[in-house]
Amino acid sequence: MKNEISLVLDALNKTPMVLINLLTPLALAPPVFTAPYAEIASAVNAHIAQSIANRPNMLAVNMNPAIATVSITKSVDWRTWNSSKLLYTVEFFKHYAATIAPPFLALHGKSKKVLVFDCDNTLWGGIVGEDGLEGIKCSAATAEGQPFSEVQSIALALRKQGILLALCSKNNPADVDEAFGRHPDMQLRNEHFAAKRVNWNDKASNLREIAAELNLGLESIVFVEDSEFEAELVEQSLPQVRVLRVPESIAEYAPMIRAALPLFYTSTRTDEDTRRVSMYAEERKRESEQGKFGTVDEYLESLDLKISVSVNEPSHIARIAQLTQKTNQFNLTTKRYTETEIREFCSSAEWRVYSFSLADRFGDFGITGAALAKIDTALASGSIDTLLLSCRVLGRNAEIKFFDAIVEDLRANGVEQLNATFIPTAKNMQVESFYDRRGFAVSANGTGAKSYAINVSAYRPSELKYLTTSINHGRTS
Amino acid sequence: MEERVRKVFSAVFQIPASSVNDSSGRESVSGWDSLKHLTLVLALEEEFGVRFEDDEAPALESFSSIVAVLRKKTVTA
Repeated sequence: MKNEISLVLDALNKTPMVLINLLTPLALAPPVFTAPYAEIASAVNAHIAQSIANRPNMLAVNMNPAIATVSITKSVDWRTWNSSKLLYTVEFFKHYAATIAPPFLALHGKSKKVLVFDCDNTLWGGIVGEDGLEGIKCSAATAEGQPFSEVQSIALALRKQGILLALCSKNNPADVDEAFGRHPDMQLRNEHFAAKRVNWNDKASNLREIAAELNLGLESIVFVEDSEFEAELVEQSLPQVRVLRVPESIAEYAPMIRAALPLFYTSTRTDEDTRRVSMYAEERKRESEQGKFGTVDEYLESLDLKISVSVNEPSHIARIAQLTQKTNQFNLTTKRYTETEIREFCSSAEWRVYSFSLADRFGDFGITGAALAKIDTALASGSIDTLLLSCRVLGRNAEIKFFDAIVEDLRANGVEQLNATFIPTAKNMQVESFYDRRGFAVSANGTGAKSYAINVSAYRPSELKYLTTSINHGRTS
Repeated sequence: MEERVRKVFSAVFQIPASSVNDSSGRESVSGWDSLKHLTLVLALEEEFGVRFEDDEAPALESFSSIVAVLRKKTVTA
C-alpha cells in the first residue's frame, strides 16, 4: 500500500493544491479498549503525513472535528454507502466544507491580515476610564481576568505569525497607554500594535483610517467589539469588515476567538510574515522623518533606497506565490498562483520569474514585488503575465525601476516585442494606466482586459537617480 | 409542493424550473446519471426534511412519482 500512496502522490505533484482526507475510524464506532481500525488508520495517517511533509501543495485534512461537531450517527449514512459508496451525510459535508475553506480563501487573497480590538471589556474586564488602572482585570489567576488573558495570548501568537494588531477604542489615549505600559497582568504592550485609534470619533471612521495607515483594504480587517451599538454601526457602514462580538457569556469569548483563527490562515509562512510587524515600526520612523524635507524627491533621496531584483530564485518561491495570492491593489492581472506553479515557472525555459526586494536606511522591506514573463524565442517576443507590488513599498517609484530591470532582462534574453495586459478588478484601478505611462501602445481593448505592446528598442528606462538596482540570476539562461 | 420539487430539479440538473413537467424523468432529462440521481435524492431529503427508504427508490425516477411519494410522506407545503 505504501507504493500505491507514493504513486498517487507523485501523480498529484503538479496539481496546484491537493487536500488529502486522513483516515478516520469513527464511522466504525471503535470499541473503547481494543481498536484495530484505529490502529490501522493511525499507521496509514502517519505514513501520509511523512510522505507529504516535503510537498508544499498537499495538505492533510483531519475530518474528526467535523464529525465530532455533527456527531457520528448524523455524519454517517450506511444507506448511501451501500447504494453509492457515499459514506457521509449532507450535514457532515456542510461542516466539512467550512473546515477546509481557509486554504481556498487564502489562495484567492481572502485571508484576514489585521486584528483590531476595542479595549474595555474586550482586552480586559472593566472600563479603564472609570475603574482605573487597578480596577481592570486581565490576570490569568482570576476568574474575571482569565478570558481576557487568554484572548491576549491568542493575539500575541497571531502577531508572531505576521498578523497585525491594532486598537480602535473610545477612551482617553493616556489611560490606554498607561494600561498597556504599566498594568502588571497585561501581555499586550504598546509596541505590539501596528496602528492605534484611541479617541472619541466614530469607529467606522477610525477603522477606515487604520486600513489607510496600514495600506490594507477594509476586507483584511477583523474587528472585536463588546458594544452591540458599535458593532452594529461598523457592520452597517463598513460591511467589508468582519465584526466579532464579545459574547454575552464571557466564558465563550476565548473559544469564539479561537474558532475565528482560520480567517487568518495562510498557506506558507515566509520571512516577510514574521518581519512584518517590525516593518511597521520602521515605517513610522520613516514617516516622522518625512516632515523634515521640503520636497518628496529630497526625502526619497535621503532614504538611500536600494532595489534588488532576482530571477528564478528558488528560495523566493513561497513568498512569490504568497504575493500573487494576497496582492490586490498594485496587481496588473491579479492571477493567483500556488508554490507548485511558481516552481514550475522557475524551472521552465520559457518563463522568467522576477522577485523584487527593497531596502533603505531604516530597514529591509524583504520581497515585496514579483513579476512573471513568458518568452517566445521563435517570435522574439515576450509577455508580462503578472506584475505586482505590495502596497507597503509604493510611493517611491520603485515599481518603475523594477519594471526597467524586467524589460532590460527580457531584452538581454532576445525579446524584441513585449506584450502586456491589464485586467481590471474592483481594487486595482490605481494601476490602470501603468503601461500607458511606460510608453506601451494599446493593441486590443476587449471587454475587461486591455492588451498592450511595445517594441523593446523603443522602451525608455526612467531617469530616477535616487534608486540603485542590482540584478541576481538564480539560474543561468 | 410541485414548485419546490421543480426548484430542486432546476438546481440539480441546471435547467430552468419552467421546463420541468409531469413527464420529466430519468429518460427525458439530460444528464440524469447515477451521480445526479444521488444528488437529486439527497437534495430532496434536505429540502423536505424526509428520508427515503430503499423500497421507495424506484419511485424517485420521475417528477410525477416523486411528487406522489412526497405526498404519501405527508409533505403538504
